[in-house]
Amino acid sequence: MGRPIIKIKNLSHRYEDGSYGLRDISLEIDEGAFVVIAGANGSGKTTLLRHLNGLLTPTAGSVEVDGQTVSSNLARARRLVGMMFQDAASQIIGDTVGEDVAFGPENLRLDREDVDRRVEQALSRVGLANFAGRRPHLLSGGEKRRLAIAAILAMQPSIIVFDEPFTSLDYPGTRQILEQMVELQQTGHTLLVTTHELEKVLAHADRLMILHDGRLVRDGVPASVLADAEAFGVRSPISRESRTGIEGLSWLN
Amino acid sequence: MAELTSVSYQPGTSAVHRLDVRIKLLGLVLLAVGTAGADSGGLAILGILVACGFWITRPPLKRISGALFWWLGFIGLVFAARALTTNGPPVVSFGMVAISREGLHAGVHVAGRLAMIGLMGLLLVVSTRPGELKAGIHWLLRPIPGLPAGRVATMLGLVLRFIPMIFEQAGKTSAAVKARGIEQRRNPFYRIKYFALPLLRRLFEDTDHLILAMQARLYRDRRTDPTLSMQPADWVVGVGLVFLWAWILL
Repeated sequence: MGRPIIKIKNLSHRYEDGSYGLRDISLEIDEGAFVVIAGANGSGKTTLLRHLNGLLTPTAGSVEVDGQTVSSNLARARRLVGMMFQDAASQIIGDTVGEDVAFGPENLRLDREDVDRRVEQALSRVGLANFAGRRPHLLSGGEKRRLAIAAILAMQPSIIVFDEPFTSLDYPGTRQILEQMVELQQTGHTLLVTTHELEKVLAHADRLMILHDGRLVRDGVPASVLADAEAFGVRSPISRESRTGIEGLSWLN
Repeated sequence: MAELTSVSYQPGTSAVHRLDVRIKLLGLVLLAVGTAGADSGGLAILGILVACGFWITRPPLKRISGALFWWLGFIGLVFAARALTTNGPPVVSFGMVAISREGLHAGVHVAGRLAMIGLMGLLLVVSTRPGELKAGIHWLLRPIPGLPAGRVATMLGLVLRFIPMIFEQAGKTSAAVKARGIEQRRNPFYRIKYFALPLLRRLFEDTDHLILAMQARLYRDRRTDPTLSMQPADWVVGVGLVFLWAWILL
C-alpha cells in the first residue's frame, strides 16, 4: 500500500435538526486501497463520503485529501475525489452520453480537443464507446452506472467513492460494475465503496469499516471485522459453516 | 420515462441539427417578430417553413404532442376567445353564442401566430444541444453593455435542463396517484392537492440531487463552451431567413 491519501481527524457532523450524522471519526486511507464501508441505513455512510469532496462540511474535525484540507480548496478536492451517487440517474446532466461525460472536463475549462479526448477515453474504458450520441435516460441501470463512472474518470480523479453502487442492479449489471472497480484499483485508484450488500464486493476489498449510529465501530481486514458485522445490522456474507472464506465470495469467478 | 422527456434535445444529424445555433436563434427572433406583422399569406409561408423544419428534423411528434397537451389547449382557448368576441355578421350561431367571419379570421390569426412561435421554439429546443444553446445565447448577448451575458446564458441553460425533469416527475406522480384511485375523487381541488404537493416535494428533492451532482463535478459559470463555427450553408440559411423576414413584414 502507498502513503495515506485521506486523513480524517475527529470528524463530527451535526444536521440542522440537531441530530448527529457522524461522531468523532478518525481514520487514514492509503493510496490504492479498496475500502468497503458498511452499516445499516442511517449509520452515516453517505454523510461520510460527502465530506471527502466538500458536499458537506464538518461540524468539528478535519478532512484532508492528498495533504490538503478539503475546505481550503474545494475545487481541488472535487477534482481529486470522483463520486458516484446512490441514484446514478440523478447525476446525469447531459442530454447525450458524450455530453454528460464532457460536463466535468468543461467545468475544468480544458481545451475542446482535451475535452473530446477525455470523453472518448473514458467512454472506451467503461465499454460505452459507441454510446456517445445516445440519450442517457434510455440506458439500462448498469449502463447508467457505467456512464457515471465514465463521467468521473473524465475528470481524472485519484480517489473514487461509490455510494451504494449495487442498489437495484441485476446480476450482469453488478458484475460489470464490479469489474470496473477491480480494474480501477489495478490502475492505481483509491476506492471507497459504501454498501450493506457485502457479499457482492468484499472478496475484492482489502479493508472493511463498519459505521453504526455515526461512529466508526469496526475497522480492519475484512476477515477480522466480519465476525462482529451482524451486531451492527450488517449481514455477514459468510456462514459459520462455510469453508470457502471471503475469497470464494467473488461474483467475478 | 423516455416518453415524458420528449420536449428536450433529441439527438440527430439532420440539416436542422447541424445548423449553427446562432443562425437558429437569429431565425427564431426574426420570424417571431415577423409573425406579429404577418398576414394570412405570411403565416401560411411560415407554417410551410416550420412543417419542413419538423419533417427534416423528425422529432417524435406523437410523444411531443402528448407532452404539449396543455399548451395546445391554451391555443384553442385563445382561438375561441377571439372567435367569440369579435363583432361581425354571424356565420354560425348556437343560441346566444354567435361566431362571425371576422371572429374566425381573427381567431385563426392570433392562434396561428402563437402556434408558429411555439413550434419554432420547440424546433429549436429539440434540434439543439443545451450546451450549444447556452453558447449561442452568450454570443448574441455579449455585445449588450452591462448585461451579464454568461450568467444569463447559464440560467437559460439550467432552465432547459430542468424542463424534462419536471415532465418526468409529473408523469411519475400522476401514475402514483392514479394507482391509488385518485380518479375516483371528483373534487378537482382534492385531486390538484394530492398531485401538486408530492410533485413539488419530489421536484425539490430532484433539484437538490442534481445540484449536488453538478457541484461534485465542479459546475461554474465559466466553462469550455462548444466550438461554434459558421459554414457556408449556415450563411445561406441566415441570409434566406433575413429575406423571408423582410418579405413577411413588407
